[in-house]
Amino acid sequence: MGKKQGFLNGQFVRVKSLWSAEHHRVPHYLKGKIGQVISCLGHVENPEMRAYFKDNRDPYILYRVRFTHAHLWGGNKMDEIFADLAGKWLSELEE
Amino acid sequence: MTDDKQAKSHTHVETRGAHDLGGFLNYLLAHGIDARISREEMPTTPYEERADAMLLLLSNAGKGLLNIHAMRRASEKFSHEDYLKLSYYDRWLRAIVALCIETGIFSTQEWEAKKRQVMRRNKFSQQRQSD
Repeated sequence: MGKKQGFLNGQFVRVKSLWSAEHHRVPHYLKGKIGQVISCLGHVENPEMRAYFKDNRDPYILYRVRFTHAHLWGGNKMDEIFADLAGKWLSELEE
Repeated sequence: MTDDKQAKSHTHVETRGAHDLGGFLNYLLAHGIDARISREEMPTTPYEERADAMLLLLSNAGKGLLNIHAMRRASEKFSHEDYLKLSYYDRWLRAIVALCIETGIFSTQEWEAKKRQVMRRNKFSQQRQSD
């Protein structure tokens, strides 16, 4: 996964569609989906490393990302889901 | 997207961890799992408080032997049935045991021996109560 994790507030991003058996904090239902970055929450402890008692070396920056129910479940257009996702799990939206 | 369509893309629901079944409502219902969120405040039981204390003592606030991410990883390995049927603190306790064995705090043999010992003791005290 790329090192670049800089995303701007308001930017649309796609959650990476990677299927890891290792511990990670991205729910299945968000993988491959498009959301909008609401804010950057800063650096946090890397759960993918700490889960194996390893040290936290890779940058692990959390972003709060908004998704619509309509996009995830085909539900109504008003309801939203907010997920705090690591920058390493997000990619810029292809033009 | 329907459950079926989502399950077909990438991995099938059965092959994924029980912690990651969000959106698979039909699957949960088919396994007798009530997916509704109970908003009732439940009383704390002494065993829950002990489980909480045990984890605190083992984690960063105490001995620094376990952490929440490792706890989550350990619970993700449970079978769907175990994960969904166990209570919250039973899941914790099982994860604590799995991690203690993994990190060598105690061995499987020591754990089994201790379990037998406690079960014998409980049986004995129950017998005495009924006598």
